[in-house]
Amino acid sequence: MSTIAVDENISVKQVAQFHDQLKEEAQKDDTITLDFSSVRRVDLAVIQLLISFQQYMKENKKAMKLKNVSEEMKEQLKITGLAK
Amino acid sequence: MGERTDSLTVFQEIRQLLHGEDNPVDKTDTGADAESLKQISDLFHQIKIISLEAEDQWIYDLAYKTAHFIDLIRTSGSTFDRAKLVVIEDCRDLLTHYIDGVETDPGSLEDWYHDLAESIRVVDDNYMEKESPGRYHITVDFDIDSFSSDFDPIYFIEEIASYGDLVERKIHKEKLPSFEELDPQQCFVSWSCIIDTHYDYRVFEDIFIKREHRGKYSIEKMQSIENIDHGTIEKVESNEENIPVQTSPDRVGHVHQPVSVQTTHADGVVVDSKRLDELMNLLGEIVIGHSAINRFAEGLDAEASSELTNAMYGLDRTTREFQEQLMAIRTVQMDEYIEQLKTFVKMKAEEHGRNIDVTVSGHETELDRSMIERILAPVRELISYAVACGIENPAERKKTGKDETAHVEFNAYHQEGSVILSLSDDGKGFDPSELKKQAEEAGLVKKGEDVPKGRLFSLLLNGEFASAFYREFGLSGQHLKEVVENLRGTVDIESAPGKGTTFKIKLPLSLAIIEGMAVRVGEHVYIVPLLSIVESIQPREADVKTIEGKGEVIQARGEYIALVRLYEYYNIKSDLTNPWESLVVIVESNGEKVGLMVDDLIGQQQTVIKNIGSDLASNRSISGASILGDGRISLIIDIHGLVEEITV
Repeated sequence: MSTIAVDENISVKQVAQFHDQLKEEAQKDDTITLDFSSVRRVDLAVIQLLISFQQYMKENKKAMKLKNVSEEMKEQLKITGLAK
Repeated sequence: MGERTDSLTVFQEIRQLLHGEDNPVDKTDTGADAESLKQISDLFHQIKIISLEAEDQWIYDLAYKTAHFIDLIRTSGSTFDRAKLVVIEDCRDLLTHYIDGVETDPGSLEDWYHDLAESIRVVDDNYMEKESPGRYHITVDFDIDSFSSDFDPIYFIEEIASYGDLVERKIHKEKLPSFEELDPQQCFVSWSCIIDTHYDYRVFEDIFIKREHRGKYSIEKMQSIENIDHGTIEKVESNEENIPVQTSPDRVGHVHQPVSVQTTHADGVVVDSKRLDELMNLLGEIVIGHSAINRFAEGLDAEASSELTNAMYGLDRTTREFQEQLMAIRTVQMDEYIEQLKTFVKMKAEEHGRNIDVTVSGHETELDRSMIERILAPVRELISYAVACGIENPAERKKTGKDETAHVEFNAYHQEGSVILSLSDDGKGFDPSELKKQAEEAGLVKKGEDVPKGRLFSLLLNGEFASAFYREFGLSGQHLKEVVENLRGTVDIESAPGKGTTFKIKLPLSLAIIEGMAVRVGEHVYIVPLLSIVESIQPREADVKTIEGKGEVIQARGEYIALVRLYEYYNIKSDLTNPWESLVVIVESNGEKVGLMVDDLIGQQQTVIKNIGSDLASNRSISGASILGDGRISLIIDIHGLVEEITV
């Protein structure tokens, strides 16, 4: 199980690099935890990438988890329908 | 925008009020109570009063608008949410920029001011919470390049969610490519929700319009919440799409269970008003085509012409019915707005210690929604003035033998194809002889000139004049005039000193198609709006005179009416140059009558208004253009603009 510390400034500007990083990690591990402790909120580009990544992991019988998600980001996931 | 004065101390004082340690704006957050809001409102009222010392109308206007906005939120008991807080903070920032002279480009402040005034108007007019909540189904599609815009699409979602409770929400990912093939800088997802809200649906529409949303959206009103069978709403235990979020001890949040609505029936569809405008434009093209066929019929022999004309009669009826139906979609009853105004009068009366009895009528009168919304803000300004300054306090009223309780009447009704909104009070009224003296002083009328009362009262709609002589009335009249003229309507004022004042606003039923009279001057055809026409006459030679100071006039029904030779005015050729051989169309604006000399009257017709280029748009006597049946362009005469240009 590996953990990726997500950069505090993650946004559409860094999303391509983040995408590459996730692709690489997904080859190595079955469970990937994304640590959002430095992140206050995310944009829709990041949310889209998370959706896509989660689908991919599920299809490949792998798991993706988020941890240390801020209240604001939790609210974002909630209103987009991605978190309970 | 008002001119900067050198009253630096006043500006410093305003700055201190806005940014001092104890300023209430910084201490306020969403959900603020009435007391905190009152402190902010007092602050802006104070700034408003101070701005009078600096004689800065611009600060006065903005402070007044802000204070009024807060008062409305406060007294209506509406929730003080993020959107409203942002408006107040924005007002403070704009004032600060202005007094600091931060912006060197006055145009950018002007734009900011107008955006803000619009935000206030919108919240003010539409967003006051209603008693029973409504339920809407909203879907938002984003363009593929949405992520490259400055405005992150997630703000749409967050802003929509901030206006109510989300019953259901979903990210749609059908178009999302596989993870490996995904270009993460392009947008492939869309979003939908079902939201319960106390707000009007326009709050959502405005989000898309203001934020210049790139992509499609729809807002659909669902069956009212009270009527939904709650047995059909069941909780979803889990959602396989949910992203698992581990909660850590320091970041535990309150999480709602999502709920799914299985049976909700939409009882109506909210259509983007632009689509209605497009439909109206298409109908306009049909009307133009119709005129073309009618013209063609005129050229046929009698029998064929009669057959074609008869066939066209049915089509004409259907087209008119179609237009009426289309207009009916855009129209709403005035009831809600009339009640809003009634409440506003009472609120103002309480604020200024007046006893006012309000009578309203015309709840069932229908008018284009966008017109009502545009007219409400200036009408409110009039009410504010009437209550604060136009109506005496109970003691003053008693002294002058009046009933201590003042009467304000608001009435809406249809008259001759237009809608009349009238607002009357039995307050102090305006003295026409006083107005005349001031107008002479201001050089707006010549000394000793016989000026009709209507024209004297219409001076109150001149911002510069009113600000100089009726400071409290200030720009209220000008604001009203600008809005009404934009809507191709008219304002009439009747007043008598000691008896009160009546503002009569006359508006056309539709903005896109007006009833006009086509007139010919030489080879040119002009359209005169029917609303402004009093009558058409052929004067006798003896009735045409030249009077010193007035120029050429015609005598009609005992009145001398200024004559405008349209061919001279527009510098074109005409067939006739003697008024007694031509026809004269008498039109009226703000109580001033003018006779337009034309070669011929072509006839009354529905006129589809087309916008004109900026060169012509700067000409005040032309308000738009229309396409005739033969494909020629005819210009629509702006009677108010024309009358003002020739009388000033």
